[in-house]
Amino acid sequence: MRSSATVTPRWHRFIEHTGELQLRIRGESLAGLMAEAAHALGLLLLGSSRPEARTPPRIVEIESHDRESLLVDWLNELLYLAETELWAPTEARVLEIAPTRLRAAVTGAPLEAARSIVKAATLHGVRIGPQGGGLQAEVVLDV
Amino acid sequence: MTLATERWPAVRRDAVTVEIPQTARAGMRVPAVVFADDELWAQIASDRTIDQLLNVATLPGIIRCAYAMPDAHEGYGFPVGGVAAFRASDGIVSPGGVGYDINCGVRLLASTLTESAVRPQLEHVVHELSRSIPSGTGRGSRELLLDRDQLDSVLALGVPGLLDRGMVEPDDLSAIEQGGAFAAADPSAVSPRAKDRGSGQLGTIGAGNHFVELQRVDSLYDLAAARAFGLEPGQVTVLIHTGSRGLGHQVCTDHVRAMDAAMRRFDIVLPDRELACAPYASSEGRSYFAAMCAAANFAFANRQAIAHAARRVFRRAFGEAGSLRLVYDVAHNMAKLETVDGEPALVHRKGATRAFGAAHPDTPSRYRGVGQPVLIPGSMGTASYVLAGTDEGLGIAFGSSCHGAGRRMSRHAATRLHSGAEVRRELEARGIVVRCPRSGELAEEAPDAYKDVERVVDVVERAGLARKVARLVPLGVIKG
Repeated sequence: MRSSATVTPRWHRFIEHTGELQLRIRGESLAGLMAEAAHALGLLLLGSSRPEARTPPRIVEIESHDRESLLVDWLNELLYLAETELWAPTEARVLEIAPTRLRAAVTGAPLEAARSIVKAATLHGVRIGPQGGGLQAEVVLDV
Repeated sequence: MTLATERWPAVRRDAVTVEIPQTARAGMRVPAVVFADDELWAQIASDRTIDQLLNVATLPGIIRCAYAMPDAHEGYGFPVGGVAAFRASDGIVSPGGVGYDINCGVRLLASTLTESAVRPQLEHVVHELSRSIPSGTGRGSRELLLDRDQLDSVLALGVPGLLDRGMVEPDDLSAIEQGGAFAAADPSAVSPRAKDRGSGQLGTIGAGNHFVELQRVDSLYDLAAARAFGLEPGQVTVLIHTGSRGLGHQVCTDHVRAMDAAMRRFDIVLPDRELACAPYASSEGRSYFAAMCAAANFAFANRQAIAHAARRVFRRAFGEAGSLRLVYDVAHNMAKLETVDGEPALVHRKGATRAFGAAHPDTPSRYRGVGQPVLIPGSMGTASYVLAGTDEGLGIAFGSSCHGAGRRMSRHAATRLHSGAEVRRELEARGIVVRCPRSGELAEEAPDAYKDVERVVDVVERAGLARKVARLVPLGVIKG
């Protein structure tokens, strides 16, 4: 978890779910929420390993049909890249955002071959709503 | 007897069956039934399993009831342990009713060796298995790297697609559910992204609760069935638990996304978006079914490739005595076209195993007298079971059984209670050899994070879903 000097600190937490992992995220805006989601996923994928090496920023673009599916599609795009390139996102800088579109520059780190991978982000109970002047989202990850 | 719960009007039908009537919630088209004794019911009712089961009962074309097996727990879309059938004529097919790990399943191989013959080499054999069978995000061996045409062949043909690679023994195909191949598979329905994820993953177990386990047959309950399955007391067996890996995950991701976008057009209102579905007769429904069958073929081939690696390790260690005979291979995350009440239906089993009886035409001929083998892995370090399907099970829950012990505790809760080192010490103190690349994750799979497999299997048997044949205990574990 981390915070910044914005009105609503960026924040994430994994909450109880019997079978899977449920991620709760906060951000000062939709862009902040998406950036924090990428950060949380990266920490989950990297686990206790904290490689110093960083890959150059890559541009990732997503289009969806509403902002909840945008969050799920964003995480699934990062998972696709993680599994096919053994790479984990460490920081995302959102360049453009709308409720159905996201363009971001994502920095990452190499992922060890032995690491566990998340199967997918799901639409189960996904929600995004106002929270303390910013936004809060919940999404369930299949692990 | 009405069960005390503020959330649903649940009624206990008998000692192992609880019914929640169709009137429990607006929109339910059928009742819901949970196979559980009082203790398992208390565990199942403690999270959102029942809410998810009632959601399933609202889906179009559902037949009879939405069922939850005794190992059921909260998942996404369907609960894990959920079983539901939908008329092929006007019902739906749902990727959320199958899950991301399409055809996750279990395969049992039996050796002719006893524990006393294996024990002196146990450490070495477990080590060699862990070297030969990659886990985590690890890629398969060079001989299993597939180019796009080779991958398409596996997607279309399943295990028979590996015949010319020398990875299939003569009796294997008849000991795999569906012969190891779904004829409805269409590789062109699988996206290039799914193929990217799967192309290097044949012969790998992945992560999470997947494993390869060496076991000993500890007890027999049904001697005739055990004889038919080729199981004897003291015999060493190998149990493989994995699925379609990243390829299957991406197939589900792609089709949930497509169906979620198309829901309005189908005029289907869902209580949970992850239940995104399409009429089986629609182009979206047919496309998902063809892709799901292709991913299932990949999963069958994956377990075949892992079995091939295990056979090599055993032959190197034990020579001719190290042969491994395939007892059976079952899927526990699938939607299959079966006949229900005389008409074709899509039977969704998510974390549930097909359990056909002695007389069912899809039971392999060699097991026709006793019922198909049903493989139930326990939690890490606890017993696993081999059951036999029953003919009456078809009328009870479409010929279905549980798929394991079933989680009762979140991963975080398990890691708060245990450390990986502690779990490893406890297993090793019992003579179980453990290989796990990420020791910390052993805690997530600690035995008490799961329901009591003995109780789960007992309920399955008392409910008439399947009957106990053999109990297997672990000797060595390679955790994914």
